[in-house]
Amino acid sequence: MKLGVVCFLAALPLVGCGHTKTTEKPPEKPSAEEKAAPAAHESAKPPPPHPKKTPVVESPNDLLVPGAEDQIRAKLVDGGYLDDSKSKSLEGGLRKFQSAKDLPVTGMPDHETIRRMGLDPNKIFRRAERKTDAKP
Amino acid sequence: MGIGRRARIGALVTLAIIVGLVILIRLLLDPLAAHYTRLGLNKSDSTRGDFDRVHVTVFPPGYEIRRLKIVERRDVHWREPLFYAERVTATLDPHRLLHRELAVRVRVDEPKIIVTSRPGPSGKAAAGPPDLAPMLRQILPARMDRLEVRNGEFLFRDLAMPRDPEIWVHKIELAAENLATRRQLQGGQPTTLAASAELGRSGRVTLFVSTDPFARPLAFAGRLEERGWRVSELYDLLEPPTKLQAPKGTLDVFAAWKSEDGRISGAVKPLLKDVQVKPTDEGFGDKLKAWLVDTGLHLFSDRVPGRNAVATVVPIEGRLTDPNFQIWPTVFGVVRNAFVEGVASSFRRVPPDKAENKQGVISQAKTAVEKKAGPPKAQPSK
Repeated sequence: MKLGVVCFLAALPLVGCGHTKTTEKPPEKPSAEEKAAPAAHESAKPPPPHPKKTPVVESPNDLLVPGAEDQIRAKLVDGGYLDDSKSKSLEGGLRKFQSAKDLPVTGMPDHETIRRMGLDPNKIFRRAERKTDAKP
Repeated sequence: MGIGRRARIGALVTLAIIVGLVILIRLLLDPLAAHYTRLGLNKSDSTRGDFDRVHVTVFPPGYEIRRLKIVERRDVHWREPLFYAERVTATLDPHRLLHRELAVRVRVDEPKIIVTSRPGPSGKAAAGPPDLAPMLRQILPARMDRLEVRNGEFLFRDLAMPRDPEIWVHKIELAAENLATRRQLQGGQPTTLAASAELGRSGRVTLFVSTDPFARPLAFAGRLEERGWRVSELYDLLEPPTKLQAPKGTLDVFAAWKSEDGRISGAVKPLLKDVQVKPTDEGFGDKLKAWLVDTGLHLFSDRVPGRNAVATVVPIEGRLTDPNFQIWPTVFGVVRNAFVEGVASSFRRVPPDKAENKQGVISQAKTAVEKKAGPPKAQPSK
């Protein structure tokens, strides 16, 4: 009986070490090829603003062309909808802007919101590459 | 009488006739539109509709309907509308009309949708609500450039379950864009849907979906975030099967998915924070069950100061093998499954599994720290 109590007390600290269980995989180590060619990664060009296929993405910000987020942020700060131009998220500012303009308050950029800001949606959102986008 | 005077009188008469015709058309437009709207709303065998008034505008070409109500035919007193909207407006883009393109913008103010699942003769849930799509096609026979929803409400009531649990989503703000009928009209951009809403009395939901409806196989991606839903609001769902209640704590659900080249992948992450479980009865068995669940939640907590969160990640995997898949039912099916999976997986171990043989205290403690063992099991009484 005493032995049982001692073992139980000894096991208690172990019980306390239980942590959140997730099936998330740890970040994968770089492969040998990746290690061998770091220069290629560094010199790699950013992806083109307009892909060949219609972009289908998980996040609304992934639909924006490079630099578009800064343009939207500048408009929101100019209009007094975003206090801090260095604020990481646009959501709060977009919500305030959409509410003021009687648009659905989603906190996400869409064509109508961008148009009402005085920006051209065609220059803000990514789309499938057109023939005219190709360089001569 | 001079010729000039006659010509002037002729011109005035012609102008008066034109003005009279315009006034007549203007006066007739609204009743005509109301007549055809009423016909369209009452075509269905299972539902019927009513409204307060219809107004048609010429510049810009538009249509507005106020206090639209659609009910099931068996609801003779119009008490439980399936759909109600304070105002629905559809406006044609005049510039695009000049280019022989029919582009319509629709705005729905304060819509309310109620879906009720009733028990069938066998006690199981009866067939779902009637299909409103044919009716909507009658009302909106145009391509949609943009759909806006302001301050919407959705209520799902399950009368087939004990306590008639409800899921209430309100303050729905939604913007869907680029719903084209032909690929060339899409301008190389995806159809998008962005929405924000409140879930019950405490949760906040945001949803984003982007899709290329012309891709074969279907291509769509999106994410769903639900934050701060108090688990006490799940009482009607949780209590009947478990005899447990969770008076304290919140549930968050995060889900992201992508379907590309016929393969759906993604993950759902439900997150329980500061959850406390109590029995609804004072019996010893229920107290023990509640203690085990509570202990299980604490064992798997992340121990971050100021919060006590339990999380898991449920993968979404699948293939779209049917070439006749329809885009929106498939997308909403994935969203619904992600949400249901998130909520269900949080409570999958409630009540905890029962051990086959009664375990001693040391054996229980040893099992609890084993990685593959899962949450603690309830002990048989004998």
